[in-house]
Amino acid sequence: MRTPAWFVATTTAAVLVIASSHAAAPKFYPDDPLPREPETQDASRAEISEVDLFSDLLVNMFMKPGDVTPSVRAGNINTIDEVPDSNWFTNRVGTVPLTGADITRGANVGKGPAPGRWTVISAKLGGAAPGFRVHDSQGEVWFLTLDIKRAPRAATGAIAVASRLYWALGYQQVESYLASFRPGDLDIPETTVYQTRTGHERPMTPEDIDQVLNISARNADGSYRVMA
Amino acid sequence: MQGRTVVRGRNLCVVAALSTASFCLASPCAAQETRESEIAAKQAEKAQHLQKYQPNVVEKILLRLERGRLDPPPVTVSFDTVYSGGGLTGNVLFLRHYGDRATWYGRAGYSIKQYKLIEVGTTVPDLGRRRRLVLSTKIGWRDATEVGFWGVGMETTEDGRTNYRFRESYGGVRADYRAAPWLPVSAGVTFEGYELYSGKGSGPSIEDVYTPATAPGLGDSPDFVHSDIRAAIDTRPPGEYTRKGGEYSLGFHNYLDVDGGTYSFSRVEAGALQHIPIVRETWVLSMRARLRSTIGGDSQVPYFLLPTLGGGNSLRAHSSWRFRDRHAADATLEWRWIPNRAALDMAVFFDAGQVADEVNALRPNRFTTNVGIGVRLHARQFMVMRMDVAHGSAGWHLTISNRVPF
Repeated sequence: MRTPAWFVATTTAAVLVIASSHAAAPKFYPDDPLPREPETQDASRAEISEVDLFSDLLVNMFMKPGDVTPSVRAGNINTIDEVPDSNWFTNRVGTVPLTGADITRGANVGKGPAPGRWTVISAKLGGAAPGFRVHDSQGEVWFLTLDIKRAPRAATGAIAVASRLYWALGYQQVESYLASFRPGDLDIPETTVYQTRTGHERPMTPEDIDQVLNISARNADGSYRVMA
Repeated sequence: MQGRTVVRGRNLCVVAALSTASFCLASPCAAQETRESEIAAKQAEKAQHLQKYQPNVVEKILLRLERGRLDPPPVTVSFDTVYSGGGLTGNVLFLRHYGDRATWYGRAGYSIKQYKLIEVGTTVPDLGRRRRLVLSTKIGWRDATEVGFWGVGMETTEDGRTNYRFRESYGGVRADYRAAPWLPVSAGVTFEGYELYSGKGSGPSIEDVYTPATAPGLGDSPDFVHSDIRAAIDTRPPGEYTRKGGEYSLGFHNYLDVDGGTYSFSRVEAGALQHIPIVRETWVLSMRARLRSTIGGDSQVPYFLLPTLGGGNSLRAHSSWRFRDRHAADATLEWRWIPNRAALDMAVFFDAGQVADEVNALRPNRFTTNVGIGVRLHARQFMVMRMDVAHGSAGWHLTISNRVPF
């Protein structure tokens, strides 16, 4: 008895469909476990989005934001449940030998602000600690944070310690250097703009720097400690 | 045979086409042969559906309120009093910035007792080499329609209440300087022109009960140049609402009667205030003592400028302006506990005070006292609302205010 052609075709198609559906998501690929997450998309057009902290606090304290689907596997881990390296995370402690010197150095690859005169280019816009931005004598831009007067070494020390611990844990950190300067080491070019609390813009003056220094902790030798 | 072959070949083509289509439809990712390419495909897929974060309605409202707090609108409303005893008051406040940090403002207030206030002024902070000088100036006009007067001295009775009305035009300048962060010094000169009228309200007017002998200056409407200077040792943190630190102050006031000098007089004011936080501000023991004393026995102080006790921050079981005389001393002790550090304080308090015509007549056994309990809603540095209930010889008295008691 001859098998009809339509039966052969339908059966074959069904088998292939079943087979192909099983082949759609293989559990492992040849390059598993992935050591580094590929970064294929351009994020340079990301826009600033203002988050209201009070709303954020309320939502996260009293509501359940996020994916409500239960038992979802983390999206950023590889097939052996580890976080692959990426632009925000690099496996360090526990995967490579780290010495105390490594952790002390942290993300730093240079030597910090170059000695000599610093040129103030703008005021610090955010945060509780006083500060401003400067060019060092080599033209490198540095963001300076000082300690407030009643808490010497608190802010700069916290940044120094926390950034190195987080670096050792694997998180991306910016370079941060402890440095010091004297008020006489600062230059203020006429092009530096100061925005007042009332929104008015005018050239920055030495009094504006004094205002920052007046609320900042000063070292015994008259210099100011900064985190750059 | 030839025909059969053609038919079978056609069927095979159909099988192949169906299989290929099915395979492709069922496994869009099957083209990926590595994990890296699979993740890249997912990232590309995700990139097709990106959208800007849209805050919900509640978050939008909170954001707007937050921006308003940091950068308040030019016109706001407040409940600051026009004059103590005026009752619930509404104010429209217009505030504009200029220069670095300077402001000028206009304020119009109206209370349920028809007290009225119009005031404009400007404040310029951060002056001087060390930016510790604040200069301010203001001019204004005030109308207080039913200010209480019970007579002079401690031996007055609740039944003796009368009312008077005054209108005051004023204008002056003031300088505040911090010689050190803990050493504020201030001085000011103000012209104060008073017009006195019969009082409104349910009680009798002052001239129906009292005479110039029992109410000094009754019937006159003097004008003054009021100058003052004050220095203090102030260890409190910045802001109106504090739970630690203290202030020890000494001030001198001179009122120069520009209409002949009949009512010229001088007064010294001394005050001591201390907050003692206990167990990291779980409780706070707050205390204050004040002395206001007219200098010289022969000067004549008009009744409406005599030192007073009573009201929202001294002898809280009594009405505003309840006791008046040439000298006044008062003390307050508060035990505060903090149910919520960010917003809520409770307090039990004890007030004591007395007035006298001679400073030597201020005696410990002549103080009148009251006790009470209070609830205070506050922000980090200022009071939002204070409700104090006090009980004393005059019975119960409720104070509702948006100012700290001290």
